[in-house]
Order: sequence, then C-alpha cells, then structure tokens
Amino acid sequence: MNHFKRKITSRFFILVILIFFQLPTYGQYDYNTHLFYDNISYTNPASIASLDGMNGSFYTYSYSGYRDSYCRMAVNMPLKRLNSGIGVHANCDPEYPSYFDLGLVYGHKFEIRQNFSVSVGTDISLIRKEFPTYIYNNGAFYFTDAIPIYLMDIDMGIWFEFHNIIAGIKVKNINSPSKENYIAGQAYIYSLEPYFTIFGNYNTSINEKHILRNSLMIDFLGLNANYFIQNHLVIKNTFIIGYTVQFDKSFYSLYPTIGFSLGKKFDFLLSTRAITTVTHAKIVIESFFNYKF
Amino acid sequence: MRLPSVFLILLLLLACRSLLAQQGDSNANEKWLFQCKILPPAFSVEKTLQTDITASFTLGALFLLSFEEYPGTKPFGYNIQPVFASFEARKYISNLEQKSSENYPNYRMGAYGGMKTSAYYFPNNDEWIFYVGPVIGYQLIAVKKLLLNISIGPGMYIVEGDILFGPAGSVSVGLKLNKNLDREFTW
Repeated sequence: MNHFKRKITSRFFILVILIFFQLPTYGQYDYNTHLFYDNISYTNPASIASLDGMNGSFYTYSYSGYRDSYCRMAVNMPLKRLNSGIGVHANCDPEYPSYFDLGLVYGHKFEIRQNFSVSVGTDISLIRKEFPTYIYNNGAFYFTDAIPIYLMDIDMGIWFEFHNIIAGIKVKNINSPSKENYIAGQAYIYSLEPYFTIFGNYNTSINEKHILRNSLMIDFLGLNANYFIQNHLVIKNTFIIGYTVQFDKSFYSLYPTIGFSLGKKFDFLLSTRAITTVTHAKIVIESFFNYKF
Repeated sequence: MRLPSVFLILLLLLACRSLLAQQGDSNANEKWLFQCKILPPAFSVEKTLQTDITASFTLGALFLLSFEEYPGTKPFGYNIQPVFASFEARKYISNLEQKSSENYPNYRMGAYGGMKTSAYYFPNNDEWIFYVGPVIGYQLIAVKKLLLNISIGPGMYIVEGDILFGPAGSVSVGLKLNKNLDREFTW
C-alpha cells in the first residue's frame, strides 16, 4: 500500500511540476507538427484510451530567424480497468502575440471484436491568446498593445484499431470558438474555424530487428488539404531513422528524422526541414522527448 | 577568454576536492566520479545517489554552436566560448550499462535519461542564457581513463528575458581523475 501511495504521489508530483513549468509562459500554437505519430494525443484525443502505459512528453518547435518557437507538454495516463484514458496538455509560445492553452483529454475504448476496437475521445482546452491591436495613421498601420483573449476550444476524435492498422478522424475546434473585442471603436474578431484531420498508420515488420512505421495525416482546411506522409524505420527497438513529407497545392517540404529509444523508458526524436519549395524559408527544428512511467 | 573570478575559484575548489578523492579512492564504496573534460575544457563531478540514479555537476567553458544568429555566438569565432555551469539528474538504463559497470562497478555508465539545467555566461557582452529540459545521453569509459559523453534533448531557454524552445545537445571528451584499485583489468 505504501508503495502504491508513493507511486501515485510521485506521479502526481511530476504532473504538477510539468504544469507549473508551463504557467509562466504563453505560447503560439502551430498546427504543423511533423512528429504527429509521437504527439499522439494531439493527433487524436481518442487515441489516449489505447495507450500501453502512462507517459509524459515534451515537444519543441523552433523556427530560426524570428526567434519563433513553441512547446507542447503532455501527460497521458491510460485507465485500463475502465477501458479509458485521461491526459493533460499545454501548448505555449511566449513570443508576441503570445499563445497559451491548457487542455484535458478523455478517451473511451469499445472492444468490438478481439482485434477490432473503436475509441472516442474529446479534448477541452482553455486558450489564452494575445491579439495585436493597431492604429491607422498616414497610410500605415502601427501596432499597439496586445489584448488577451480567452477561449474555450473543444476537439472530438474517433479512433479505429484493426490488427496492426490504426485510423482516426479528428474534428478540431468543433465549437467554433470566437471572440469579438472593441478597442477605441475598432472591432477585433478572433475565431477558430472547425476542420478535419485524418490519421492512418500501418506497421510493417521487415524482420526481427527492423520495423517500418508508415503514417499518413491529412488536414482538411476549408477547400485546401494539407498532406503529411511519414516513414520511420525502427532498428532493434532503439534507433529510429526516417522522414516526413508535407505538401499541398502550393508547396512541399521534406523533414528527415532521427531518434533513439533507450531501454523502453526514454524516447527522443529530432527532425529538421531539409528541403522545401517555400521561398525565404528559414531553418525549422523539432525535438520530442518522451518518458514512459 | 576572461574567466570571471568566481568561476575560477569554484573550479579550483572542485579540482582540489577531486585530487583529495583521487588519493583516497582505494575505498571500494567511493561513489564520486571526477572528470576533467578536455573538450570542451570543463570540470565535472558525478555522484551516485541510488543504483541507477546519479547527480552530475559541470563547470567550465564551452564551444557553443548556436542555432540562432545570436550576437557573440558565431561558430568557432572569438566570442563563442561562454562560461557555463550545469546540473544533471540522470537515470541510467541498466541493460545497456552492464559492460562498463562490470569494470567500474561504482560508476554508472551507459545510456541514461534525465533532466538538465544550465546557466551560460558570455563574458564579452555580459549576457546570460539559462536552459532547462529533459535529456537522453550516453556516457562511456572508452579507453583506460578516457570518458566520452554525448547527450541531447529538447529544452526551454531564457535569453535576454525572452523564452525560447529548442533542442540542445553536447559532446564531450573527459579524463577520469579517480584512482581505482579495481582497474587491473585489461582492455
């Protein structure tokens, strides 16, 4: 019993530390995470019900040139007895105009057949975003103080698992959060429109030491679709090497990735944008750390 | 490069402590690992707290390769060597450490994960950078007393009051300062 209490207390302590670590910062949320297979609770909130064990992750996205960077932290805990999972996450970008959100995730899994399950999940987040205001004078806009806006955002997801095939659909911003502010007679409207995300994954075992992880994600943003294709080769359950290709009608980018998985406890991935058709593109570096409790 | 006097004094104190430990390191229960890092020039001490958990403190200079075009951090330029102090809590992964720990049973070696916090000071433009984040790494006694360490992880920086996020990694080559009685083995 004491051991159990100690375990629970230490996990709660880590959770509190991770959240506390977030509080002083406010961040900008970028939806283009290319490590979407690993940021699984972001990819689909329903996936949380299918996790093997509790984990905590820290993800960073850095964009050179404008000191633009943001991070995401998540702690996910499956509740096997209840066929469910819960999690907490926070995103932050402290640069002007800053963005910060803190969200709770819940997912429930329905075992339909032995090798077939369907999960549903939801992600409820509180967003704090700074909204830049401006004045118009002599034919030019001048930015003045930023005003903070608070929004409640809800995402929903469905997650299918059939043998070693995974598929999921997520509806982001399902409640269409919107806020209107008036500063000096000028109206400022900030709204988040709903959009769909489709995710699919299939793992191929090449031999005993090599596994090929194939993933696909498509964001449907209005009439535009944003595609992400990812292939990761996992060698001896320790080394990860692969790439992600992102493209839509107007551009494509290639993100090579390397990673390590140590003792089934610690995971680290590093991804950088190597090739892109985006003009004047700066360096992008993403890193991901995961600890399995 | 101008070293602030406080860092120099601390460095000397640690060096003295390590030399004393070296003299009395015949004790099999000695669990302090002192190393003089040659590249980059630094001094490090690691204390085994539990079987797989250690705490490590490092002080010295650094060859910093900056991701940002931060003033004074031109790669391999004159101003790239800040003074730094870092603290790491490490949890070693037991199944990968066995090879090294058989030879040095008191010192944890191999792959590890943990947390790292660092403070970097740029004497030339009187600037500070603070860093905190999780890391994974690998530490190995390569040849006789030569220690290799490599670590990487995502983290949070505080630069001129701004908060930034990004990965940081380090590679170092060090010399183990402890004297061992159990070093009769041959490589």
